[in-house]
Amino acid sequence: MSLKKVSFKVKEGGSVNEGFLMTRERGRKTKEVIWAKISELSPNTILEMDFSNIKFMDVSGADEAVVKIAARLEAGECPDRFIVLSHVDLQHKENIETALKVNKKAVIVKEDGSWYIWGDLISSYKEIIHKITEKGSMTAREIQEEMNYKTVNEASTKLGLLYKKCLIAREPYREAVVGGGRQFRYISLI
Amino acid sequence: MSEEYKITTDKRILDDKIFDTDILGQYDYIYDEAFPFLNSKGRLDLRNIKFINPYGALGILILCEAILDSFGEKADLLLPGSSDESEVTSWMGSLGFLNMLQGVANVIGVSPPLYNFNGPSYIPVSKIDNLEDVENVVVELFSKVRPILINKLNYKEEESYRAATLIAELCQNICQHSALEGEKPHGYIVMQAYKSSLKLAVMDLGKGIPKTVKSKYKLYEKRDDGDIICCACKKGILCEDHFSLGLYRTLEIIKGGRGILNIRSGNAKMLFDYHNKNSVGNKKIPTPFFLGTQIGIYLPRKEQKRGGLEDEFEEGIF
Repeated sequence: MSLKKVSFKVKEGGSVNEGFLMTRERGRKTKEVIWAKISELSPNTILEMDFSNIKFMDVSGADEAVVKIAARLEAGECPDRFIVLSHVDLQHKENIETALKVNKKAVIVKEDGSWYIWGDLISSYKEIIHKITEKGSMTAREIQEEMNYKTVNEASTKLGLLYKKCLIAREPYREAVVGGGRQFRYISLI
Repeated sequence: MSEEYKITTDKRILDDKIFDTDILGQYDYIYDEAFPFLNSKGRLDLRNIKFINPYGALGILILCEAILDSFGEKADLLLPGSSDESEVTSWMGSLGFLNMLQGVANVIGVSPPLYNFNGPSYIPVSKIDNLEDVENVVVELFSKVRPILINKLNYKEEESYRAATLIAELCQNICQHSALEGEKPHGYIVMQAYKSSLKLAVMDLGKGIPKTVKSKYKLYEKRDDGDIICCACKKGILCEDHFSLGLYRTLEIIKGGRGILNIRSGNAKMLFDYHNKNSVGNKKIPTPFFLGTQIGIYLPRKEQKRGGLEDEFEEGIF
């Protein structure tokens, strides 16, 4: 299965000078527009949020437009929809990262051919995302072997959590395992 | 009855030999010393002033506003110097203070020729009473403060973004937290850069930090104003969603840059000094009641160990 990607230029709501995503009120308006877009997406689609129109963003703006969206996705309000940020500069980074860390959330960011994980995520989970991105997709068993976990369960639990956080996608149906049983295949958002 | 108060430079500055700290406090001097003398309309005589910096000038502006608010009449303000020879007046004019003062005081004195001070080292005094004003200040902060931080004060690019963003947030606080009931919020910002430091003042005549915090949390009702200012500098105190980080992050920047942050509001002034070796730490200074909030920021060049008086005069503050 391949994930569908939809690009979306984030535009702030309510400012006089264009490109100022600041204050909670404007952040909320921006969030509503983004959320409406996410609601239109079909399952297994990534919304690539392009911030090139945003000249200035404060923490409240970042909290509403990025963190609250990530939180709603994590809460399962729109299952199997994902976000990836792009065209973010250092000014955006400063405030998005602060807002993510305060709320213990994480997002994936694409930048000039590279990608990063911003926010609050422990390193072993980050490592799993890196492995999956390297290979394109992986199962719990493959992760267990790759990361030398003692049990498949351990890998499975971690993958489940990353999927819940919308940092990886997964095939809708479990694939059969040789020797019996079924397992999910997890897919990178990059 | 009208009284005259002659403002002179603050003797405490030179006595204490901690010029940078007291420059931040110069506003306090003007306000505390002059305001009680002005029982009515009043008359402020600046003719002896030979030196003034952004904090002092903003202090005079706020003092004139307070007089107008309290007595319903504009104070008479005698400008420094007698004629176009006054460089102090020129400086005040060029940074926009004279224009602002016209609205809140009867300015008496000859308008001097203006030098072009609206260069890359200055943000002229700017009034902030809505988010559009904050947006305009943000544009100035990004075009002026960031290059100063990077090129003159050795800040990394990301640190410069952080600092400019935080200053913008302090300006936003004026619009979001300072308004008195039924009144429009308003405040001012001014910035001046020197060879090896940057000074910035943000002030408003609003509710003030202690009153804002006390109205939100009963827990703080009996705490003194200095403690409340300290608490406001911790994560998440001021906002309804416990997300307020502005003052906390500002303090982090000041620590990282070994600078000074001065916050005055209510009956206290907190001085967070990470610059002067002999006085590093937080100091709570009880002060007469101040209507709103005054925030002074001093950021030195990063590798600089000493700054202060020499720096001010070397740069030619006039």
